[in-house]
Amino acid sequence: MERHSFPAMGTQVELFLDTSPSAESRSAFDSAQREFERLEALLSRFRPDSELSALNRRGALDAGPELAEVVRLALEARDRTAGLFDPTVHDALVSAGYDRTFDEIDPDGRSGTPRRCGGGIRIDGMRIELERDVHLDLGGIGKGYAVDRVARMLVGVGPCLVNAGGDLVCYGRPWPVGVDTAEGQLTLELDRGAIATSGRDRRRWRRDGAEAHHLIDPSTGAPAGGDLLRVTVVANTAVEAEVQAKAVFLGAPASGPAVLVTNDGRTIFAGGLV
Amino acid sequence: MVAVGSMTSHVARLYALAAGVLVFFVTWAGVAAHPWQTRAATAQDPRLAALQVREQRLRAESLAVKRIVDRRWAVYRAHLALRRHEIAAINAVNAKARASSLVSAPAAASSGGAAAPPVRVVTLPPLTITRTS
Repeated sequence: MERHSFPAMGTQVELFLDTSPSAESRSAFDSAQREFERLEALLSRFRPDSELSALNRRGALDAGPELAEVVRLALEARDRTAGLFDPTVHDALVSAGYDRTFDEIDPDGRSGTPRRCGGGIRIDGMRIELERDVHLDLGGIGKGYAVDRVARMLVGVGPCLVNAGGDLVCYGRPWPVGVDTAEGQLTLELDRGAIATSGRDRRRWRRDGAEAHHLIDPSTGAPAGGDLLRVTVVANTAVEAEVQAKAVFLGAPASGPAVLVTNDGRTIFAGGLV
Repeated sequence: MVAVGSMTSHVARLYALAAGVLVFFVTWAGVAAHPWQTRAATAQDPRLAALQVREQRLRAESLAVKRIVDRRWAVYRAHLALRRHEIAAINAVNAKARASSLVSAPAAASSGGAAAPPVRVVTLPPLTITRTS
């Protein structure tokens, strides 16, 4: 078993290959890391020179294939989840205090007013146009997209697992994956597919004496409330798992295997999971 | 008897002819020198001088632009070669994956709307952990 780890997209990325050490596996790890870094440079809202930042600044852009693809996936997800997943939460996130990379957030800052979500996005081929005052955040779905791409790169070398801070894809053999529950930790095993976890137990900060976190409810434009602390979802791709985890956290029913942890310390299994 | 000089002297004729030729060439040289032109007319036209200066400046600028374009072209070629290398590596990996049964999993997974993959709870220690991302 070979393992390679590196920081990217605001988290620690882990790559596993079930092969013997070889030049091919090392080359695959190097290519995978470069791909993560390349996609981060395109899709990060925190990098002023990224394609996403250019789109948010100008309101319209003839985008590259990756940005166009991720925006298209995000729009499909918004339609599929009836707006629970929404890439236009950018301004609401900034207003809630997530206006810089998580490590740089001011712990004593003041929050702004909730900002509306659901703004218009038009995509025609590679041309993306945003409605006035609409800005995109592709943090979660961009990471899922990167995980899916890199897993497809690695699977040709051997059975693989890619874990980017909770967004995880594996192929080729049974992989045991730990999931935090209210009681401790549970191990799920899957041969292929993706797992994503969304919750308010991490990436949180305080504003005006109240706790804020990164999961915005598009209907209010503010960090989501509710009974759930954390949701883990199993799906076919990391993008799909990421979208479903956010939607379930915001109240959608789980359409596949899922582990829900409530604020009052209960663990709920859904979607046929024991 | 008075001797009268003859106007038909050959020597005199030769002198007259030589003097005529000399006068002709001196006149020719004088006309060719354009003594009637003013000094202002012989000085270079300032518009022409300005054009020459501009031409020199444009030549220098075009050389500078060419150097910049050449440099950027070299950088672009290097990036293009790197991307082509990466794409070729990915294509090779994908081709190899297609040849094996492994590729059936991602192919199935990428199809939208497919049922969720099978998953089971086990008592094994986890290799990695999924946490809030």
